Order: sequence, then structure tokens, then C-alpha cells
Amino acid sequence: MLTKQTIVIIGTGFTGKAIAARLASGCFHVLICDKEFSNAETLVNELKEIEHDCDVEAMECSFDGAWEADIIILATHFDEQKEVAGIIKEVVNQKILVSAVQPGTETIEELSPACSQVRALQELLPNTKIVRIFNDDPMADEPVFNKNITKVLIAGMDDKAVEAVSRILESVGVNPTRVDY
Amino acid sequence: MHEVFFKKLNEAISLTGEEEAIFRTYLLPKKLRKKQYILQEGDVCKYSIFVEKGLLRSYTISDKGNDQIVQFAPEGWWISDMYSFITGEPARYNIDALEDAELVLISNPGMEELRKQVPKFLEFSFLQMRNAYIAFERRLSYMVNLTTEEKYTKLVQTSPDIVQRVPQHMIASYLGLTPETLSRARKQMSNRK
Repeated sequence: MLTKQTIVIIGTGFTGKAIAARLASGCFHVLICDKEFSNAETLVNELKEIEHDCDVEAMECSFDGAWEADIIILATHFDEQKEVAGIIKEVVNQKILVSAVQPGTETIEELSPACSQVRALQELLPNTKIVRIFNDDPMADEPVFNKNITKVLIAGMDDKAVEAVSRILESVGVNPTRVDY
Repeated sequence: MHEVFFKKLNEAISLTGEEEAIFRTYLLPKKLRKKQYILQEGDVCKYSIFVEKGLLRSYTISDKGNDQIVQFAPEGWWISDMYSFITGEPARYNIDALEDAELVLISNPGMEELRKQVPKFLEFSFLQMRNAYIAFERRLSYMVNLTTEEKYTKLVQTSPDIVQRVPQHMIASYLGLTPETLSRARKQMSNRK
């Protein structure tokens, strides 16, 4: 894809930071949002120290970030994702939203693209294409992403959205494997 | 949200509340900053773009490396690479923002669904295609038959806001002139006043 895509990452925890570091090395316009704006600014400064020319920017408002973005990545705990979904609802219609949260579950059913957590998010955002990414060992108590990760699992109901997110991950050196439990 | 979009649509085809609700499910809201691209030549044009606020342009780059502006799209206008949008082939045009913009995008499958679910929209699509064709023919005729001064005067008459908002070298590109030729013509017109 030649047209530069804008991707917003909401959340600057371990996973948000690792995803931001990967995407900053790619050909994307990356926006970073956090409940605490200073966290977003700190992350942007850290990324710019490593790669001076990276196209990364801190945004004060997740609503504006999601409005501007082609793809939205929610890298927060699931309860916070629902809260953010309520805020950005109006501007993510028909867009791809990536939920990057480790299932933290004992049961394999909870990994399904239609599991209760995703259903809850989808009910809040009925016209948004939700894609999940998680650690390639979904049962592990590990973050979805870390700086050395080379593979993740990906799931979603919309084939084109899964394909689009997979292409983005591949472009920054992460190999996604689709799962439909 | 999407006030201008629905105002324009309702001017052409009056929608019921239910139909407007169907429309809202297929609209993708997008902000674009000045100088950012929504489409670059070589990518497939996936959306028909309505400008809610701001100003966009479409252009192609000639073999000599010059920009040739095809269309300006201010508030209330549609813009896309229609050929690419319909055929799914790579776009020949670039589309970028000349001012910070708020856009409403509709995908090709979204358009098809809307035509099925809101049959009035089929009529709107037909009117849109017809108007695009008339505009294309008119522009071609102006380019071939009008003098430099006449081309510029026509643009000032039909789109005075564009002439105010866009730098002269872009106006020249849109009219198929060099900036120097346009500058000379404007000076001559000004001297005669």
C-alpha cells in the first residue's frame, strides 16, 4: 500500500509500547493516546530517541485520534477497552479496531472471535470490524506483544479486516497466524 | 455528525429518519490533515469521498514530473478516482488535502448495500454520475476551445471560493497552463480594468 495509513494506539502499557515501537519502524503515521497525556508524550519521546525521523505523535484526545485514524488499536485492559469504545464510538464506524488483550483465560472457548468479551465490544460498536491479536501462547500469562516478538495469533469475523491487520503486522516483521477456535 | 452530508443528500433525495439511520451504518468518518493523502496513485481507490469540511484535490503527475490537477473538492463535494473505484484497478490519481479536512467515506460494497436498502439512492447515484459526466465534458470543451483569459474567467465565475483558497500555481495546473502564462493573463486582464 502506497498511501500512508494512520494508526492510533490507545494505551501505553507494556503491550501498547511494544506495538508502538514496531509500528514506528514501519511506514505509518502513528498516533499515541493514553488517559494520562504525559504517558503518551513520554513514549513518543522514547521512540524518537531511538528513531529520530519516525512519524509518531502524542494525542491528547482518543476521540480525535480515532477520528483521524484508519485503524484503531486498543492496548488496554478489557474493562478499559469498553470504556474507550464508548468514547470513540461515533468516529470508528466501518473502521478496523484491533483489540490487543491477552485472554487470561483457562478455557479455549474464550479465545473464539465471538467470545463474550468481543461480543460485548461488538455490541458497543456494531459497525466496526473488530480484530483480536494475542500472544502465540494464549494461555500464557504474558503480554500480547513484546519488543522481540516475531509471531502473534489473530482472530476476527471480518476476513478483509483480518487480512489488512495481518499485512500491517507482516510489514513490521511480525508473523500472524489466524485462529478460529 | 455528517450534517453537510445529509443536508446535500436531502436536497437531492429526501430521506426518512429510518433511511438516514441505514445510511449512518455505512459511513466512515475520517479526518485528514493538510498535505496528507487519502489516495496515492497505484493503490486501489476503495472509497467514494464526501468533503464535510476543508478542501481536497485530485491530480496526476505527468511524464515530465509536473502535477496536473484534475479536480478541487471543497465542502459538499464528492471526490474519488472513479475508474479505480468502479473497476478495482490501481488508481491513476492522487488525492490529498489542501486544507485540514473532515470527510465521509463510503466503500464500494457500502454503496451497493445502500442502493439495495434505500432505492432512492440509486436515483442519487445516477444523478451523481450524470453530473460528473457533464462536468467532464464541459471541462474538456473549455480546455480545447477557450483562451487562457476565458478559462480563468470561467473558473472565477463558477468557483470563486476555489480561486480565493488555492495558490495560483495550482489554479494554473487545473487550467492546463504554466504559472507564468496564468500570471501574464491575469496582469493583462487587470490592466484593462
